[in-house]
Amino acid sequence: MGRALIFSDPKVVELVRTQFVACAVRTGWYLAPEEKEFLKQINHPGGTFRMYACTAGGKGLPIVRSKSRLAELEAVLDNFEPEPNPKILALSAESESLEMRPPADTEVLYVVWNVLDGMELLPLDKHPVYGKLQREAGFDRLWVRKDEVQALARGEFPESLKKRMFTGVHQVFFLPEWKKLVVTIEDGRLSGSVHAQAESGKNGYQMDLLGAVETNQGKLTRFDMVAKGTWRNDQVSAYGSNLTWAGKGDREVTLAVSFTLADRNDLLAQTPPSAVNVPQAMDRYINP
Amino acid sequence: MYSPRYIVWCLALPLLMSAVAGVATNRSSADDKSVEKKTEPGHAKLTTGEFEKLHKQLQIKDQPWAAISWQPSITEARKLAAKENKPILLFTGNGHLLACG
Repeated sequence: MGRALIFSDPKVVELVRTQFVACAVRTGWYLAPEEKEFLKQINHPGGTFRMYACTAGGKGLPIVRSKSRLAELEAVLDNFEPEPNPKILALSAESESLEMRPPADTEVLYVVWNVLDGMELLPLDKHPVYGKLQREAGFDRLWVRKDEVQALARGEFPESLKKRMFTGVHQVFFLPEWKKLVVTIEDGRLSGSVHAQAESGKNGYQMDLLGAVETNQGKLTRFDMVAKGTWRNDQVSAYGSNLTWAGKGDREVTLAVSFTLADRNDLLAQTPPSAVNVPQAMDRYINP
Repeated sequence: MYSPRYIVWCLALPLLMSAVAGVATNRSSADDKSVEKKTEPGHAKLTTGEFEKLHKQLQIKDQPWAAISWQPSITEARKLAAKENKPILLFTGNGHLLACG
């Protein structure tokens, strides 16, 4: 939500990248008690989407609305004073155990999607806010277990991965089950199709799948896949996803989704999949 | 000795069987087509060229905000901010800034 608006200015990206430590967390579902306490300390206002600044030691640096995001962030930097040796409490063992990171031995796939056709796009000159939101690509992560990697190496697409892929990336594959799903791997070439249709109406999707899978000594070295086809969901409830806009028109759109093997040490790969919103959801997600 | 009727029957049987099988095959294939038509309302098949183009287009590293090193936890952000003498820019919400759309 809001990425397309905040970071459409390259100067904002550069300022945040070089002058701040950026952190994004989903506070609405779960946060370690120590971090909840920290948010209280900096007088974080809570609620839905917020951009807020603070120091490492716990001093809030309120963002005052200004003529532009860039001006707001520059004002924060003007008010910032480095703190000598701020006290930072380490997380308790229990809090650490509840961190929603990719479990050991899992691989991470980046999932990116966008509407290719069929959505009525607002002109950017007249609707700079909503127009940008409509065009923003969606992003999620998908975890792949070690035994699933081994199955892929044998040329099999395991059922557990099918289920996690086609129900766990729930913004796109929003139905709990599919009518037809065929995925085959032959000589590293992945192909197939997926079709899901809601019982009660016209919502559903039908996509072709094509990709490439490579493994080396039990390690996944390549997973590139694209799903492309028709998609309709007028019941989508999301926070700014372009699929919200695609659904609003009550029409079928052409959607493309890419899956790409990530370096699991990348910071972006550390963000949990959308379906993992609380620690208790991890087990259900990894063992669907 | 076989009767002429038996010989005609023996000669005709394979032809008859293949004709019946042909009808059955055609019907089966027609049925499959109708199922195909019903369940696959005609989107174009994904080609290799299209796969390569779309996969290249849909990469997270090309998104402007992905150039930022997003810390995945507040505690880690605090440690890094203390080390680098920088303020923390915190994005919070019910949804995750880096999730969905």
